[in-house]
Amino acid sequence: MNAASTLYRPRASTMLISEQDVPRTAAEDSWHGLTLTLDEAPPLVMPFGEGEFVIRPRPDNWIVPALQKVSELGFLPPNWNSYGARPIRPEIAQVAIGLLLNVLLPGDPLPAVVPTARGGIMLEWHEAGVDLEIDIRSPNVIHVWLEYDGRSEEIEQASVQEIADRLNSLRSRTM
Amino acid sequence: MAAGSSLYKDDPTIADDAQLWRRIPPWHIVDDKNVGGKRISKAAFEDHPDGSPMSVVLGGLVLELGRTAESVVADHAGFCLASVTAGFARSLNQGVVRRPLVEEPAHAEVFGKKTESVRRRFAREAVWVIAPEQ
Repeated sequence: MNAASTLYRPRASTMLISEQDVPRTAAEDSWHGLTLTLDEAPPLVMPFGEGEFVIRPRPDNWIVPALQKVSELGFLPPNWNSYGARPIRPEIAQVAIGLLLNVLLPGDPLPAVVPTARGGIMLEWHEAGVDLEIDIRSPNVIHVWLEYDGRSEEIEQASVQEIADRLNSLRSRTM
Repeated sequence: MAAGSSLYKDDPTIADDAQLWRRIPPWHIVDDKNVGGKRISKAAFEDHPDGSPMSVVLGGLVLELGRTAESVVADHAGFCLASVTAGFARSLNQGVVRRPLVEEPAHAEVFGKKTESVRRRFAREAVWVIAPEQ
């Protein structure tokens, strides 16, 4: 698992991924024949509503599309479902990002990232005969539904470890 | 809120085969590789965040009023329209009541506790009236 940190702060940029995060070319890192050595890739900065998330260390590229989907939910207006839905809460998005970074492994299928009317986020996988739904209702209440082989399991308040274990059910069928 | 709640009474003039249409935003339509197509997330079937029951429109009434299904999503770019029957809703211990609005005379509400199971059943059994592009 990654030891990633995710900070939410007032936004300094309006770009989806800020300029500082665009990978530099070798030429840009070279000046008068001297090659600059960077200790660490810059963090990934993703806007979300009025603020932005700063993710350190920079996540690998394979997971960035899922993180970007979380970022996009930050710009859903009130009533985005036409039935009075609330904007997605940054603290929920922070949990979603944390889960994506800490329970997914390279090669795992990426989930659908789904907003909920109460301002939460669901991560959903429907493949390899498995239906796995992680419903982040608040930073402390994460509901999990898993169904495969005609069996189903529901966890009302799942821990990160329980979520990782359920993801193994999917992983074992897709690898 | 159970179907027999004193606040809401199931309306017997809404027949079991009456179609209840609900708008589905594009964010609630997800890939389902198990069936090789799209599915509706259970997130699409919730009561209002303010606690009032889930809104639908009576499909038959929309048509009786000389309107089309497309009129229900006309002001909502990218939205689709899904349908369940009133009888199916009732089989999930839900009730259906007319709640006409000035802007939507065919508006109705589906009341009753929206458990995980209920929401999942709605999502699985709903059929498209206006389907997403595959």
